[in-house]
Amino acid sequence: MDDKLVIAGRQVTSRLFIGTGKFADYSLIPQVIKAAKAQVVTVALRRVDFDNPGENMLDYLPKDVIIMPNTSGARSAAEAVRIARIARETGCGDWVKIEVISDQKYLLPDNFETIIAIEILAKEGFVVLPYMSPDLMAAKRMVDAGAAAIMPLGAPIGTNRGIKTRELVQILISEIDLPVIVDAGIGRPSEAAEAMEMGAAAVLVNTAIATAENPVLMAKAFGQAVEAGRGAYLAGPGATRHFAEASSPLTGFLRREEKVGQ
Amino acid sequence: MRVRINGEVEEIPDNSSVEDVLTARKLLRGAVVIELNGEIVKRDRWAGLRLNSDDNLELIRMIGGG
Repeated sequence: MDDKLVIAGRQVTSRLFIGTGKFADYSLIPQVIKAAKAQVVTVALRRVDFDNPGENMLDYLPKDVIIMPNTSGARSAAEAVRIARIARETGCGDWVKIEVISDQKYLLPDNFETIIAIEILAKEGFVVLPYMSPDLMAAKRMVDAGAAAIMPLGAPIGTNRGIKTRELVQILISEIDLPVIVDAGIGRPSEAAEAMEMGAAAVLVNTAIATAENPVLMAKAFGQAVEAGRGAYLAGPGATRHFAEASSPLTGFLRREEKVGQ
Repeated sequence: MRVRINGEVEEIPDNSSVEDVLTARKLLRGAVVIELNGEIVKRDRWAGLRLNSDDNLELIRMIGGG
């Protein structure tokens, strides 16, 4: 079956996007990417720490990945724009995950500032994927502003709680013509599969893999779940019903066929 | 002269270039992006660009993130 995810004209080979935060060791990251068969990978930007310069993150990313820097740390559109421009200067491409957060308790994104940032960055040629609170009208404005995909949260970042925003995300999937990628909150492969069954174009997973006891094995499990969930979505699940319907014929051997009510 | 590097005031030799600051800190060119007084400085300008007193230099790099 021809089932391709295309973002901003570029074909993406995997519907599992991976975040690279929280890993105990950078050397796990290439193993995780390989096990998950992921292609799109997020990174962050920070000041160089002179006391602990550490290793170059880029050395650990396979050459064929699409690097998507995020604008984490930004609390306003202007700060997100600044970080995005710095990100592009690394020479890793034009993709950027817009993340504007000023709520430090739940880390919920500021849709309003995000829309402003999208408008500016899309005009500068960035491929902009906004992390957002799943609100239909905000999503529509993000589409109009030039977003390349929409990334609603399933639950607050790092909570591993699953798709608590299910109803609202489902509305985005049905009403928004761009790829809808569930970002944040997915804690288990079954929840990634759930998002894919709902019709999400992809999921972005970080904490659930990075904090697993065995991140590489968990990455593989997520990859399988995303493929399974996508397959189920394409296959078209059968209808649910309230009363039982036998899977095997109930008559034709010990009993004769009866008409209901007789 | 005094400049501000990543938020900290530091004493560096007069006439230092952006490149000199990187070299003194043994930073790899490929891994760093530089902002001088809020403006990104392209890599090909690092060697020739002299810093002035009270300049504000930001050295930024990629790290793991979600």
